[in-house]
Amino acid sequence: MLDVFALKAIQNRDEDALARLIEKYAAYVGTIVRNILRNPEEDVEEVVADVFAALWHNANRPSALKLKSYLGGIARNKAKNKLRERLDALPLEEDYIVTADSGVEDGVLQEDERQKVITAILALKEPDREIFLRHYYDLQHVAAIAAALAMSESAVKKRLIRGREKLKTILEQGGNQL
Amino acid sequence: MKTKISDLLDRIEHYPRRLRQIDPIATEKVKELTMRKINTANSYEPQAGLRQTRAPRRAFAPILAAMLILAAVTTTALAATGVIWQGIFGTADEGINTAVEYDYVQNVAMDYVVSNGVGVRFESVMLDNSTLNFVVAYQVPEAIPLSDWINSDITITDESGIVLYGEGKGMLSTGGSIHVPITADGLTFKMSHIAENVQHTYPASQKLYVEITNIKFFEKAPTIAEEFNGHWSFEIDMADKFVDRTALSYRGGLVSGSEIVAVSYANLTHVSFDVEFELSEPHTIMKKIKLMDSNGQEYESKQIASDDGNAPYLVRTSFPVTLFKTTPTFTLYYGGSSIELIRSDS
Repeated sequence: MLDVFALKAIQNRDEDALARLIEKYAAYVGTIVRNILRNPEEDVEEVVADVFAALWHNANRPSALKLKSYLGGIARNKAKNKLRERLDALPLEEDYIVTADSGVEDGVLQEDERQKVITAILALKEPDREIFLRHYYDLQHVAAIAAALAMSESAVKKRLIRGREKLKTILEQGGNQL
Repeated sequence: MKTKISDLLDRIEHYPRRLRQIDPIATEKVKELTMRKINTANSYEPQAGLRQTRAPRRAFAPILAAMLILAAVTTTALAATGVIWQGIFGTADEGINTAVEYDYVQNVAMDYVVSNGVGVRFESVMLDNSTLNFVVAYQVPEAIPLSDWINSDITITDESGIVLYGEGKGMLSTGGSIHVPITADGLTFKMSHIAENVQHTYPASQKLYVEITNIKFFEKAPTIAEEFNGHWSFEIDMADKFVDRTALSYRGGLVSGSEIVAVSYANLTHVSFDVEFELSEPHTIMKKIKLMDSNGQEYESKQIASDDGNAPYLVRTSFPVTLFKTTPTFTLYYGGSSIELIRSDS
Protein backbone atom coordinates (compact mmCIF):
# COMPACT_ATOMS: atom_id res chain seq x y z
CA MET A 1 0.00 0.00 0.00
CA LEU A 2 1.40 3.39 -0.94
CA ASP A 3 2.05 5.73 1.97
CA VAL A 4 -0.37 8.24 0.54
CA PHE A 5 -3.16 5.68 0.59
CA ALA A 6 -2.20 4.48 4.03
CA LEU A 7 -2.25 7.98 5.48
CA LYS A 8 -5.60 8.70 3.93
CA ALA A 9 -6.94 5.41 5.28
CA ILE A 10 -5.59 6.16 8.75
CA GLN A 11 -7.40 9.47 8.69
CA ASN A 12 -10.50 7.36 8.09
CA ARG A 13 -9.57 5.24 11.11
CA ASP A 14 -8.40 2.17 9.19
CA GLU A 15 -6.31 0.13 11.63
CA ASP A 16 -5.11 -2.23 8.88
CA ALA A 17 -3.49 0.71 7.13
CA LEU A 18 -1.68 1.62 10.34
CA ALA A 19 -0.51 -1.98 10.64
CA ARG A 20 0.91 -1.79 7.09
CA LEU A 21 2.90 1.30 7.99
CA ILE A 22 4.14 -0.35 11.17
CA GLU A 23 5.37 -3.29 9.11
CA LYS A 24 7.10 -0.95 6.74
CA TYR A 25 8.70 1.51 9.15
CA ALA A 26 8.92 -0.15 12.59
CA ALA A 27 12.49 -1.34 12.08
CA TYR A 28 13.60 2.10 10.93
CA VAL A 29 11.88 3.84 13.83
CA GLY A 30 13.17 1.17 16.22
CA THR A 31 16.75 1.77 15.10
CA ILE A 32 16.49 5.48 15.83
CA VAL A 33 14.92 4.84 19.22
CA ARG A 34 17.43 2.13 20.09
CA ASN A 35 20.35 4.39 19.21
CA ILE A 36 19.15 6.81 21.86
CA LEU A 37 17.74 4.49 24.54
CA ARG A 38 20.11 1.57 23.89
CA ASN A 39 18.04 -0.75 26.11
CA PRO A 40 16.00 -2.42 27.41
CA GLU A 41 14.23 -3.63 24.26
CA GLU A 42 10.86 -3.33 26.06
CA ASP A 43 11.40 0.40 26.33
CA VAL A 44 12.34 0.59 22.67
CA GLU A 45 9.18 -1.24 21.62
CA GLU A 46 7.08 0.95 23.92
CA VAL A 47 8.45 4.14 22.37
CA VAL A 48 8.10 2.80 18.83
CA ALA A 49 4.44 2.09 19.62
CA ASP A 50 4.13 5.66 20.94
CA VAL A 51 5.46 6.94 17.61
CA PHE A 52 2.84 5.07 15.59
CA ALA A 53 0.09 6.03 18.06
CA ALA A 54 1.13 9.65 17.47
CA LEU A 55 0.87 9.05 13.73
CA TRP A 56 -2.63 7.66 14.25
CA HIS A 57 -3.71 10.79 16.07
CA ASN A 58 -2.03 13.16 13.62
CA ALA A 59 -2.32 11.36 10.30
CA ASN A 60 -3.20 14.57 8.54
CA ARG A 61 0.09 16.21 9.48
CA PRO A 62 2.84 14.48 7.52
CA SER A 63 3.25 14.62 3.79
CA ALA A 64 3.32 11.16 2.27
CA LEU A 65 6.54 12.16 0.56
CA LYS A 66 8.18 12.89 3.88
CA LEU A 67 6.56 10.31 6.09
CA LYS A 68 9.82 8.55 6.87
CA SER A 69 11.45 11.80 7.92
CA TYR A 70 8.39 12.72 9.99
CA LEU A 71 8.48 9.38 11.79
CA GLY A 72 12.20 9.80 12.39
CA GLY A 73 11.66 13.16 14.05
CA ILE A 74 8.86 11.88 16.25
CA ALA A 75 10.93 8.84 17.18
CA ARG A 76 13.85 10.93 18.29
CA ASN A 77 11.73 13.28 20.39
CA LYS A 78 9.86 10.48 22.11
CA ALA A 79 13.06 8.57 22.78
CA LYS A 80 14.61 11.64 24.32
CA ASN A 81 11.57 12.13 26.53
CA LYS A 82 11.86 8.54 27.65
CA LEU A 83 15.50 9.09 28.43
CA ARG A 84 14.59 12.04 30.62
CA GLU A 85 11.97 9.96 32.42
CA ARG A 86 14.67 7.51 33.37
CA LEU A 87 16.62 10.33 34.93
CA ASP A 88 19.71 9.01 33.25
CA ALA A 89 20.09 11.68 30.67
CA LEU A 90 23.66 11.57 29.58
CA PRO A 91 26.15 14.23 30.53
CA LEU A 92 27.29 15.58 27.19
CA GLU A 93 30.49 17.28 26.29
CA GLU A 94 28.45 20.44 25.97
CA ASP A 95 29.35 23.80 24.64
CA TYR A 96 27.38 26.82 23.58
CA ILE A 97 26.78 28.48 20.25
CA VAL A 98 25.86 32.14 20.11
CA THR A 99 22.43 32.36 18.54
CA ALA A 100 19.95 35.09 17.94
CA ASP A 101 16.56 34.78 19.59
CA SER A 102 14.60 36.22 16.73
CA GLY A 103 13.06 34.06 14.07
CA VAL A 104 12.84 30.98 16.21
CA GLU A 105 9.32 29.89 16.96
CA ASP A 106 8.48 27.13 19.37
CA GLY A 107 11.98 25.76 19.36
CA VAL A 108 11.93 25.07 15.64
CA LEU A 109 14.39 26.83 13.42
CA GLN A 110 13.27 28.70 10.38
CA GLU A 111 14.11 26.86 7.16
CA ASP A 112 17.07 29.04 6.22
CA GLU A 113 18.53 28.73 9.70
CA ARG A 114 17.93 25.01 9.69
CA GLN A 115 19.75 24.74 6.38
CA LYS A 116 22.62 26.73 7.87
CA VAL A 117 23.00 24.28 10.75
CA ILE A 118 22.77 21.31 8.41
CA THR A 119 25.33 22.89 6.10
CA ALA A 120 27.63 23.38 9.06
CA ILE A 121 27.23 19.72 10.01
CA LEU A 122 27.89 18.63 6.45
CA ALA A 123 31.07 20.70 6.48
CA LEU A 124 32.51 18.41 9.14
CA LYS A 125 34.60 15.61 7.67
CA GLU A 126 34.21 11.98 8.60
CA PRO A 127 34.58 10.56 11.16
CA ASP A 128 34.13 13.90 12.97
CA ARG A 129 30.61 14.27 11.59
CA GLU A 130 29.61 10.78 12.63
CA ILE A 131 31.03 11.29 16.13
CA PHE A 132 29.38 14.69 16.40
CA LEU A 133 25.96 13.42 15.37
CA ARG A 134 26.17 10.33 17.56
CA HIS A 135 26.97 12.49 20.55
CA TYR A 136 24.74 15.52 20.11
CA TYR A 137 21.97 14.11 17.98
CA ASP A 138 21.74 10.51 19.13
CA LEU A 139 22.89 11.47 22.63
CA GLN A 140 25.38 8.63 22.79
CA HIS A 141 28.05 8.90 25.43
CA VAL A 142 31.72 9.02 24.60
CA ALA A 143 32.43 5.45 25.70
CA ALA A 144 29.71 4.03 23.46
CA ILE A 145 30.92 6.00 20.46
CA ALA A 146 34.48 4.92 21.09
CA ALA A 147 33.40 1.29 21.24
CA ALA A 148 31.24 1.53 18.13
CA LEU A 149 33.94 3.21 16.04
CA ALA A 150 36.89 1.32 17.50
CA MET A 151 38.55 4.45 18.82
CA SER A 152 39.85 5.52 22.20
CA GLU A 153 37.67 7.73 24.37
CA SER A 154 40.28 10.45 24.33
CA ALA A 155 40.29 10.40 20.52
CA VAL A 156 36.52 10.76 20.49
CA LYS A 157 36.69 13.69 22.93
CA LYS A 158 39.35 15.41 20.83
CA ARG A 159 37.25 15.05 17.71
CA LEU A 160 34.21 16.40 19.56
CA ILE A 161 36.20 19.46 20.60
CA ARG A 162 37.32 19.89 17.00
CA GLY A 163 33.76 19.47 15.76
CA ARG A 164 32.41 22.05 18.19
CA GLU A 165 35.05 24.55 17.17
CA LYS A 166 34.31 24.00 13.48
CA LEU A 167 30.59 24.34 14.05
CA LYS A 168 31.02 27.53 16.03
CA THR A 169 33.31 28.95 13.40
CA ILE A 170 30.91 28.15 10.58
CA LEU A 171 27.83 29.41 12.40
CA GLU A 172 29.32 32.52 13.93
CA GLN A 173 31.33 33.63 10.93
CA GLY A 174 30.06 34.96 7.67
CA GLY A 175 28.11 37.74 9.33
CA ASN A 176 25.15 35.50 9.89
CA GLN A 177 24.74 34.41 13.41
CA LEU A 178 21.87 32.15 14.12
CA MET B 1 21.75 34.25 23.36
CA LYS B 2 23.74 31.12 24.09
CA THR B 3 22.36 27.79 22.98
CA LYS B 4 23.61 24.33 23.83
CA ILE B 5 24.77 22.39 20.79
CA SER B 6 22.43 19.50 21.60
CA ASP B 7 19.53 21.94 21.90
CA LEU B 8 20.54 23.54 18.62
CA LEU B 9 20.46 20.16 16.89
CA ASP B 10 17.10 19.51 18.54
CA ARG B 11 15.75 22.54 16.77
CA ILE B 12 16.63 21.32 13.30
CA GLU B 13 13.99 18.69 13.97
CA HIS B 14 14.80 15.61 11.91
CA TYR B 15 18.25 15.43 10.41
CA PRO B 16 18.05 13.51 7.14
CA ARG B 17 20.68 10.97 8.05
CA ARG B 18 21.27 7.61 6.48
CA LEU B 19 21.37 5.00 9.22
CA ARG B 20 24.31 2.64 8.93
CA GLN B 21 22.26 -0.37 9.87
CA ILE B 22 18.58 -0.99 10.35
CA ASP B 23 18.02 -3.54 13.07
CA PRO B 24 14.91 -5.73 13.21
CA ILE B 25 12.23 -5.19 15.79
CA ALA B 26 9.36 -7.31 17.07
CA THR B 27 6.84 -5.86 14.63
CA GLU B 28 3.87 -7.86 15.86
CA LYS B 29 4.51 -6.73 19.42
CA VAL B 30 4.77 -3.12 18.28
CA LYS B 31 1.45 -3.51 16.44
CA GLU B 32 -0.19 -4.90 19.55
CA LEU B 33 1.19 -2.13 21.77
CA THR B 34 0.17 0.53 19.27
CA MET B 35 -3.38 -0.78 18.93
CA ARG B 36 -3.67 -0.93 22.71
CA LYS B 37 -2.53 2.67 22.99
CA ILE B 38 -4.91 3.99 20.36
CA ASN B 39 -7.83 1.95 21.65
CA THR B 40 -7.36 3.10 25.23
CA ALA B 41 -7.36 6.65 23.96
CA ASN B 42 -10.73 6.43 22.29
CA SER B 43 -11.92 9.51 24.07
CA TYR B 44 -8.96 11.38 22.63
CA GLU B 45 -9.99 13.66 19.85
CA PRO B 46 -7.40 13.33 17.09
CA GLN B 47 -8.04 16.73 15.60
CA ALA B 48 -7.66 18.25 19.05
CA GLY B 49 -4.21 16.75 19.10
CA LEU B 50 -3.38 18.61 15.95
CA ARG B 51 -4.56 21.85 17.45
CA GLN B 52 -2.62 21.34 20.64
CA THR B 53 0.62 20.77 18.84
CA ARG B 54 0.27 23.35 16.14
CA ALA B 55 2.50 26.28 16.65
CA PRO B 56 0.99 29.74 16.86
CA ARG B 57 2.45 31.68 14.00
CA ARG B 58 1.96 35.03 12.50
CA ALA B 59 2.23 33.52 9.05
CA PHE B 60 -0.21 30.86 7.99
CA ALA B 61 0.98 27.61 9.44
CA PRO B 62 3.32 25.65 7.16
CA ILE B 63 1.77 22.42 8.39
CA LEU B 64 -1.19 23.31 6.28
CA ALA B 65 1.04 23.41 3.26
CA ALA B 66 1.98 19.87 4.11
CA MET B 67 -1.69 19.02 4.31
CA LEU B 68 -2.18 20.50 0.89
CA ILE B 69 0.65 18.39 -0.44
CA LEU B 70 -0.91 15.31 1.08
CA ALA B 71 -4.25 16.11 -0.40
CA ALA B 72 -2.72 16.69 -3.78
CA VAL B 73 -0.59 13.59 -3.72
CA THR B 74 -3.57 11.59 -2.62
CA THR B 75 -5.31 12.64 -5.76
CA THR B 76 -2.16 11.77 -7.65
CA ALA B 77 -1.95 8.21 -6.51
CA LEU B 78 -5.63 7.67 -6.94
CA ALA B 79 -5.40 8.87 -10.46
CA ALA B 80 -2.22 6.96 -11.10
CA THR B 81 -3.55 3.64 -9.96
CA GLY B 82 -7.03 4.18 -11.27
CA VAL B 83 -5.60 5.25 -14.63
CA ILE B 84 -8.22 7.92 -14.90
CA TRP B 85 -6.87 11.00 -16.59
CA GLN B 86 -9.56 13.64 -16.85
CA GLY B 87 -9.13 16.65 -19.07
CA ILE B 88 -5.81 18.24 -19.93
CA PHE B 89 -4.55 18.25 -16.35
CA GLY B 90 -5.73 14.79 -15.37
CA THR B 91 -7.87 16.05 -12.54
CA ALA B 92 -11.54 15.95 -11.64
CA ASP B 93 -11.32 19.49 -10.25
CA GLU B 94 -14.40 21.20 -11.66
CA GLY B 95 -12.83 24.64 -11.53
CA ILE B 96 -9.76 23.60 -13.52
CA ASN B 97 -11.78 21.64 -16.07
CA THR B 98 -14.25 24.49 -16.52
CA ALA B 99 -11.37 26.87 -17.12
CA VAL B 100 -9.97 24.49 -19.76
CA GLU B 101 -13.41 24.25 -21.34
CA TYR B 102 -13.40 28.03 -21.73
CA ASP B 103 -9.85 27.95 -23.16
CA TYR B 104 -8.19 29.35 -20.04
CA VAL B 105 -5.20 27.14 -20.77
CA GLN B 106 -2.03 27.47 -22.82
CA ASN B 107 -0.80 24.68 -25.02
CA VAL B 108 2.98 24.94 -25.09
CA ALA B 109 4.54 24.25 -28.45
CA MET B 110 8.09 23.17 -27.82
CA ASP B 111 10.51 20.39 -28.68
CA TYR B 112 11.94 18.07 -26.10
CA VAL B 113 14.88 19.56 -24.22
CA VAL B 114 17.36 16.70 -23.92
CA SER B 115 19.94 16.14 -21.21
CA ASN B 116 21.59 12.86 -20.26
CA GLY B 117 19.51 11.16 -22.93
CA VAL B 118 16.20 12.17 -21.38
CA GLY B 119 13.84 14.57 -23.12
CA VAL B 120 11.58 16.95 -21.21
CA ARG B 121 8.99 19.38 -22.43
CA PHE B 122 5.98 21.26 -21.12
CA GLU B 123 2.72 20.49 -22.92
CA SER B 124 0.20 22.70 -21.12
CA VAL B 125 0.21 25.42 -18.50
CA MET B 126 -2.40 27.34 -16.52
CA LEU B 127 -1.73 30.25 -14.15
CA ASP B 128 -4.30 31.88 -11.90
CA ASN B 129 -4.33 33.67 -8.54
CA SER B 130 -4.09 30.52 -6.42
CA THR B 131 -3.22 27.88 -8.99
CA LEU B 132 -0.26 27.00 -11.18
CA ASN B 133 -0.86 23.89 -13.27
CA PHE B 134 1.42 22.35 -15.85
CA VAL B 135 1.81 19.09 -17.70
CA VAL B 136 5.32 17.75 -18.28
CA ALA B 137 6.16 15.09 -20.84
CA TYR B 138 9.24 12.90 -20.45
CA GLN B 139 10.98 10.75 -23.05
CA VAL B 140 13.50 8.19 -21.80
CA PRO B 141 16.19 6.36 -23.87
CA GLU B 142 15.23 2.87 -22.78
CA ALA B 143 11.85 1.57 -21.77
CA ILE B 144 10.94 1.74 -18.11
CA PRO B 145 8.49 -1.09 -17.55
CA LEU B 146 6.28 0.50 -14.92
CA SER B 147 6.35 3.82 -13.20
CA ASP B 148 4.39 4.36 -10.02
CA TRP B 149 5.05 8.04 -10.27
CA ILE B 150 7.74 10.51 -11.25
CA ASN B 151 9.40 12.95 -8.90
CA SER B 152 11.32 15.73 -10.63
CA ASP B 153 13.33 18.43 -8.98
CA ILE B 154 11.57 21.25 -10.81
CA THR B 155 12.07 24.92 -10.09
CA ILE B 156 10.01 27.55 -11.87
CA THR B 157 10.83 31.22 -11.53
CA ASP B 158 9.44 34.20 -13.39
CA GLU B 159 10.98 37.31 -14.93
CA SER B 160 11.04 38.99 -11.51
CA GLY B 161 12.94 36.13 -9.93
CA ILE B 162 9.94 34.99 -7.92
CA VAL B 163 9.99 31.26 -7.34
CA LEU B 164 6.57 30.00 -8.39
CA TYR B 165 7.20 26.31 -7.98
CA GLY B 166 9.76 24.16 -6.22
CA GLU B 167 9.26 22.59 -2.85
CA GLY B 168 10.96 24.60 -0.13
CA LYS B 169 12.49 26.98 -2.64
CA GLY B 170 10.23 29.98 -2.60
CA MET B 171 7.43 31.75 -0.86
CA LEU B 172 4.92 30.76 -3.48
CA SER B 173 5.81 27.13 -3.69
CA THR B 174 3.65 24.59 -1.99
CA GLY B 175 5.16 21.50 -3.51
CA GLY B 176 1.65 20.21 -4.00
CA SER B 177 1.36 18.23 -7.17
CA ILE B 178 -0.80 15.75 -8.90
CA HIS B 179 1.36 13.27 -10.69
CA VAL B 180 -0.32 11.03 -13.20
CA PRO B 181 2.08 9.01 -15.29
CA ILE B 182 0.96 7.77 -18.63
CA THR B 183 3.01 5.39 -20.65
CA ALA B 184 2.03 3.58 -23.78
CA ASP B 185 5.40 2.22 -24.78
CA GLY B 186 7.50 2.60 -21.65
CA LEU B 187 9.43 5.42 -23.36
CA THR B 188 7.13 8.39 -22.90
CA PHE B 189 5.46 9.63 -19.76
CA LYS B 190 3.25 12.54 -18.89
CA MET B 191 2.80 14.12 -15.49
CA SER B 192 0.41 16.79 -14.34
CA HIS B 193 1.43 19.17 -11.60
CA ILE B 194 -1.28 21.04 -9.73
CA ALA B 195 0.24 23.62 -7.40
CA GLU B 196 -2.61 25.18 -5.46
CA ASN B 197 -1.76 27.87 -3.00
CA VAL B 198 -4.24 29.90 -0.99
CA GLN B 199 -1.53 31.40 1.16
CA HIS B 200 -0.16 33.70 -1.53
CA THR B 201 -1.25 35.07 -4.88
CA TYR B 202 0.65 33.98 -7.94
CA PRO B 203 1.90 37.03 -9.85
CA ALA B 204 0.90 37.90 -13.41
CA SER B 205 4.15 36.45 -14.73
CA GLN B 206 4.99 37.02 -18.38
CA LYS B 207 7.70 34.36 -18.53
CA LEU B 208 8.33 31.11 -16.75
CA TYR B 209 11.92 29.91 -16.44
CA VAL B 210 11.97 26.16 -15.86
CA GLU B 211 14.96 24.31 -14.40
CA ILE B 212 15.08 20.57 -13.76
CA THR B 213 18.12 18.85 -12.31
CA ASN B 214 16.92 15.41 -11.29
CA ILE B 215 14.18 13.03 -12.38
CA LYS B 216 13.22 9.89 -10.50
CA PHE B 217 10.94 7.26 -11.97
CA PHE B 218 9.47 5.21 -9.19
CA GLU B 219 8.70 1.59 -9.90
CA LYS B 220 6.71 1.49 -6.70
CA ALA B 221 7.53 4.15 -4.16
CA PRO B 222 9.98 4.20 -2.48
CA THR B 223 11.67 1.89 -5.01
CA ILE B 224 13.28 3.92 -7.78
CA ALA B 225 13.23 2.29 -11.19
CA GLU B 226 15.42 4.88 -12.88
CA GLU B 227 17.02 8.12 -11.80
CA PHE B 228 18.48 10.72 -14.13
CA ASN B 229 20.59 13.73 -13.28
CA GLY B 230 20.99 16.43 -15.86
CA HIS B 231 20.16 20.01 -16.70
CA TRP B 232 16.90 20.64 -18.43
CA SER B 233 16.31 24.36 -18.82
CA PHE B 234 13.83 26.31 -20.92
CA GLU B 235 11.55 29.33 -20.82
CA ILE B 236 7.90 29.79 -21.65
CA ASP B 237 6.21 32.99 -22.80
CA MET B 238 2.95 33.18 -20.93
CA ALA B 239 -0.26 33.91 -22.81
CA ASP B 240 -1.91 37.30 -22.36
CA LYS B 241 -4.95 35.66 -20.78
CA PHE B 242 -2.83 34.83 -17.75
CA VAL B 243 -0.94 38.12 -17.64
CA ASP B 244 -4.10 40.23 -17.97
CA ARG B 245 -6.35 38.02 -15.89
CA THR B 246 -9.09 39.58 -13.81
CA ALA B 247 -11.33 38.48 -10.97
CA LEU B 248 -14.83 39.25 -9.78
CA SER B 249 -14.95 40.65 -6.27
CA TYR B 250 -17.66 39.71 -3.77
CA ARG B 251 -18.46 41.35 -0.42
CA GLY B 252 -19.96 39.94 2.73
CA GLY B 253 -23.69 40.35 3.29
CA LEU B 254 -26.19 38.84 5.68
CA VAL B 255 -24.59 36.78 8.45
CA SER B 256 -26.26 33.91 10.23
CA GLY B 257 -24.80 32.42 13.41
CA SER B 258 -21.96 33.67 15.55
CA GLU B 259 -18.87 31.96 14.12
CA ILE B 260 -18.20 34.12 11.05
CA VAL B 261 -17.23 37.69 11.88
CA ALA B 262 -16.50 39.11 8.43
CA VAL B 263 -15.22 38.36 4.95
CA SER B 264 -11.83 39.92 4.21
CA TYR B 265 -12.00 39.17 0.49
CA ALA B 266 -13.86 36.89 -1.88
CA ASN B 267 -12.52 36.75 -5.43
CA LEU B 268 -14.03 34.66 -8.17
CA THR B 269 -11.25 33.91 -10.65
CA HIS B 270 -10.90 31.90 -13.84
CA VAL B 271 -10.16 28.73 -11.90
CA SER B 272 -11.45 29.09 -8.34
CA PHE B 273 -13.31 31.14 -5.78
CA ASP B 274 -10.76 32.33 -3.21
CA VAL B 275 -12.11 33.54 0.11
CA GLU B 276 -10.58 34.82 3.32
CA PHE B 277 -12.88 35.24 6.30
CA GLU B 278 -12.53 36.02 9.99
CA LEU B 279 -13.86 33.82 12.77
CA SER B 280 -14.89 34.69 16.30
CA GLU B 281 -12.71 31.89 17.62
CA PRO B 282 -9.83 29.78 16.28
CA HIS B 283 -10.59 27.56 13.32
CA THR B 284 -11.02 23.87 13.95
CA ILE B 285 -10.85 21.36 11.13
CA MET B 286 -13.95 19.72 12.60
CA LYS B 287 -15.99 22.59 11.19
CA LYS B 288 -17.04 21.92 7.64
CA ILE B 289 -16.59 24.69 5.10
CA LYS B 290 -18.68 24.77 1.95
CA LEU B 291 -20.05 27.17 -0.62
CA MET B 292 -23.45 27.25 -2.27
CA ASP B 293 -24.33 29.26 -5.34
CA SER B 294 -27.71 30.89 -5.89
CA ASN B 295 -28.82 27.85 -7.91
CA GLY B 296 -28.32 25.59 -4.92
CA GLN B 297 -25.13 24.00 -6.30
CA GLU B 298 -22.74 23.15 -3.45
CA TYR B 299 -18.94 23.20 -3.58
CA GLU B 300 -16.55 21.64 -1.08
CA SER B 301 -13.50 23.66 -0.12
CA LYS B 302 -10.34 22.56 -1.94
CA GLN B 303 -7.71 24.03 0.31
CA ILE B 304 -7.82 25.55 3.78
CA ALA B 305 -5.16 27.57 5.55
CA SER B 306 -5.67 29.12 8.94
CA ASP B 307 -3.74 30.99 11.57
CA ASP B 308 -5.42 29.95 14.76
CA GLY B 309 -2.65 31.05 17.07
CA ASN B 310 -3.41 34.74 17.19
CA ALA B 311 -6.45 36.90 16.67
CA PRO B 312 -7.80 37.84 14.22
CA TYR B 313 -8.66 34.24 13.45
CA LEU B 314 -8.46 34.15 9.68
CA VAL B 315 -9.22 31.29 7.33
CA ARG B 316 -8.27 31.19 3.67
CA THR B 317 -9.88 28.70 1.39
CA SER B 318 -10.88 28.14 -2.21
CA PHE B 319 -13.67 26.38 -4.05
CA PRO B 320 -13.81 24.79 -7.54
CA VAL B 321 -16.15 27.35 -9.07
CA THR B 322 -15.08 29.87 -11.68
CA LEU B 323 -16.17 33.19 -13.09
CA PHE B 324 -17.31 31.29 -16.19
CA LYS B 325 -20.19 29.96 -14.10
CA THR B 326 -20.90 32.84 -11.79
CA THR B 327 -24.09 33.66 -9.95
CA PRO B 328 -25.05 36.99 -8.33
CA THR B 329 -24.68 35.61 -4.83
CA PHE B 330 -23.04 32.74 -3.01
CA THR B 331 -23.45 31.55 0.55
CA LEU B 332 -20.40 30.55 2.56
CA TYR B 333 -21.03 28.02 5.32
CA TYR B 334 -18.77 27.44 8.29
CA GLY B 335 -20.04 24.94 10.85
CA GLY B 336 -23.47 26.19 11.85
CA SER B 337 -22.93 29.71 10.56
CA SER B 338 -23.17 31.25 7.13
CA ILE B 339 -22.57 34.51 5.34
CA GLU B 340 -23.97 35.75 2.08
CA LEU B 341 -21.47 36.83 -0.58
CA ILE B 342 -22.75 39.49 -2.98
CA ARG B 343 -21.08 40.61 -6.21
CA SER B 344 -19.44 43.96 -5.43
CA ASP B 345 -20.56 45.50 -8.73
CA SER B 346 -24.21 44.63 -8.21
